[in-house]
Amino acid sequence: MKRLTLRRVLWSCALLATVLLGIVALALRLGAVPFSFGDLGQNLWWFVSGQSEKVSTDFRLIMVDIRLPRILLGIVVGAALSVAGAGFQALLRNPLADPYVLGVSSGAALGAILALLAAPAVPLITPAAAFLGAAATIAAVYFLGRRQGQLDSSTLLLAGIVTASFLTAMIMFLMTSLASRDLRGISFWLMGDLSASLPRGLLWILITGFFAAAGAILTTASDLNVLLAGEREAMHLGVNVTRVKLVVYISASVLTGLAVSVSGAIGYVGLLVPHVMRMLFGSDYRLLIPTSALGGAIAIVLADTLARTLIAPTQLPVGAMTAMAGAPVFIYLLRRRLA
Amino acid sequence: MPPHLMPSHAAYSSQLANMTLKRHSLFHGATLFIKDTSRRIHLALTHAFLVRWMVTLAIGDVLFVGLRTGSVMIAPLLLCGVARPQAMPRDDLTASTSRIEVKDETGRTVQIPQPVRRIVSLAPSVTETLFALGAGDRLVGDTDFCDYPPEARRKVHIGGPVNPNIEAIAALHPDLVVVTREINRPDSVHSLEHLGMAVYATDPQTVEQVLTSTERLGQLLGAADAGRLLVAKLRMRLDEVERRLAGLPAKNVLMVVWLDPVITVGRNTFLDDALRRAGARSVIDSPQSWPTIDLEQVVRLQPDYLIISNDNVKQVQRELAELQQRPGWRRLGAVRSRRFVVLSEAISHPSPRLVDGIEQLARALYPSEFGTHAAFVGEPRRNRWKFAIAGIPQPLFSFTQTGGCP
Repeated sequence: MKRLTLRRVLWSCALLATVLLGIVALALRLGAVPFSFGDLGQNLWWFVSGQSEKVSTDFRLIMVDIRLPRILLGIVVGAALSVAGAGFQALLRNPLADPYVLGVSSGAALGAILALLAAPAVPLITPAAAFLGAAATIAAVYFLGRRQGQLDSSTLLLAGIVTASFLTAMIMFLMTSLASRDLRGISFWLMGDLSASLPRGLLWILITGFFAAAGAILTTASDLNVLLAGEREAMHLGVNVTRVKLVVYISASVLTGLAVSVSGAIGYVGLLVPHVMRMLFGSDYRLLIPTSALGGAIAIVLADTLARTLIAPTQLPVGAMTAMAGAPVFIYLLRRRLA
Repeated sequence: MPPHLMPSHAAYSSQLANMTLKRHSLFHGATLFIKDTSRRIHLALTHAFLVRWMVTLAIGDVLFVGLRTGSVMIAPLLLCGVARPQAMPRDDLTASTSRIEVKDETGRTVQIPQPVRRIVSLAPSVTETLFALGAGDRLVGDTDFCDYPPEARRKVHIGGPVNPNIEAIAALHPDLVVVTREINRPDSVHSLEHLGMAVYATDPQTVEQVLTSTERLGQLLGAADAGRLLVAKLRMRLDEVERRLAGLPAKNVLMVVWLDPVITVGRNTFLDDALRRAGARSVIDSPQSWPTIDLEQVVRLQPDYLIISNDNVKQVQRELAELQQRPGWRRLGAVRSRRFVVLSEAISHPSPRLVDGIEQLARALYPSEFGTHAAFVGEPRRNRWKFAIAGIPQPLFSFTQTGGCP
């Protein structure tokens, strides 16, 4: 295996960042209202060069107020989910782990449903309550998943899965028994939905939260590499296993909670992207975490662009697109590696 | 109106329109054909597709999206990027200055610009109401599901009621977006509000509320007289039905909103109220709006009639024929003696058209009270047009002749 150098990390990230930029440009161009690249460039130039009074109202409304925030949201959500997925895969030492495996998304969904039942008319109640639900689930699973005062991978996994199925059962019960008219959209939410337009401030909170939590996971990256060999081995090599596991658990859960609360449960990205990045760039966590973040952003922006444009103006749920586009790519890479 | 919504660049807007028009004319015929074809396929695949949205079960929605995706996926892949709504220049570029502040039917405060020149509707029932109020020409966008009156199909579509395309709505520069709590999501309302659009929500839960809601919408849109007249006429028709049915015992019915599983109406819905006004009483009395019920319970309660609301007559005929072969359903007296009433979809929309539905049902259930109608029972669609011209709404067809009502 090639030695990991800073140069290689930077080159890999630069490559992915270029792809991301290209896809963002495409995503800005495509949509229910068509704009040409020329218009796009000119208006952007006016915007950047301080001549924003020249920018047309249509452009401002569609691009600046709707499309760009949605793309930014997609980038943050995708990056958060993929980093969380990579973190959980290391923490639980299970290749099937994804950001939702410990029930964070079910907790968030239950929070959102309760909020919609109690006060559907309050703006931003869905993300706020979803985040509270996610946080409560994180705390509950943490206490359930301890053995002798320490996080134990298999206990944590079982506790998480049981909590998730219990919460899912609660959601099903509420949805069928109460059937409030305001719950109609929840199915879209459960499949992942980036269409809600959020205030700027919330986007900044998300970005800050993402960098804090992803940064925390990145500081443990070299320890995670050792941890993959086994907990006992890592301990003998001088890794503070308890601390590393706690940091990864909390950071990955917070990343998931942030993503779920604004976009619903977008599936597959958190599972597939880290594996794809492993196949492309190797499984060193110091490289895997930044590449997963960029790869996740690419995946979601691409999937959301397809979801928005495939049968425009009707929108598909982005979660369906991630699975539809992601699974074949994954199978291809998997078979190619085996061949 | 917030500054970013003010149309200040007329030149740019018209340039945009030219650009899109060119694209459009090139593919115009093909687009229409594909849209229409995909729509037909879709119609064939989905049963009572408005009621479908009302059935609040999430699983229903998920399945629906799956169906829809499957049915229309191929066409848009071929012509991706053609079938889109266009950004339209405003007819009148002076922004409305005065605004009125009103409370909508869900208790929200809305600032509505006056006069309202451009309206977007996010529900089929709202679209119907707007056309009935004579505001159809001011409607600039509606949903994929708005199919009545036929003009509604030709409006720019902005996606489905549950997942509207916010961008497409914004590009239409509406003065007012009308939603209904029965179908639309709070999230969509928040998103539109956040972008500075005026969003008015209706929430009629009884026939009476459908009428008052219509009248009030007329006032807000500057069509108060049209609204009053419309509602007065509707009230007269309802009174006429009530007069003819006075003193008659209500007939026990099962309104089949969905067949597999059986979904019917609960109390506290406009549909239940409509049944009552047509002299029918639902055998199911549930506090849920759209309860899913056990076939066993239906067999036990033995409704005298099954009522189905669906414009797709062929599909209904097929379904009803199939129903008579099914083990549980065969035990129903109404199925054995073919006491089915098939209504148009009018009765499943909380719009002025609901009154048509009530009349259709009352005529089907009480033919002798409505005189002339008896001749048409059991004759599918033959003389429908004659009656439509005479202004008498007809059930599409009904099989009430055999056996009669016990």
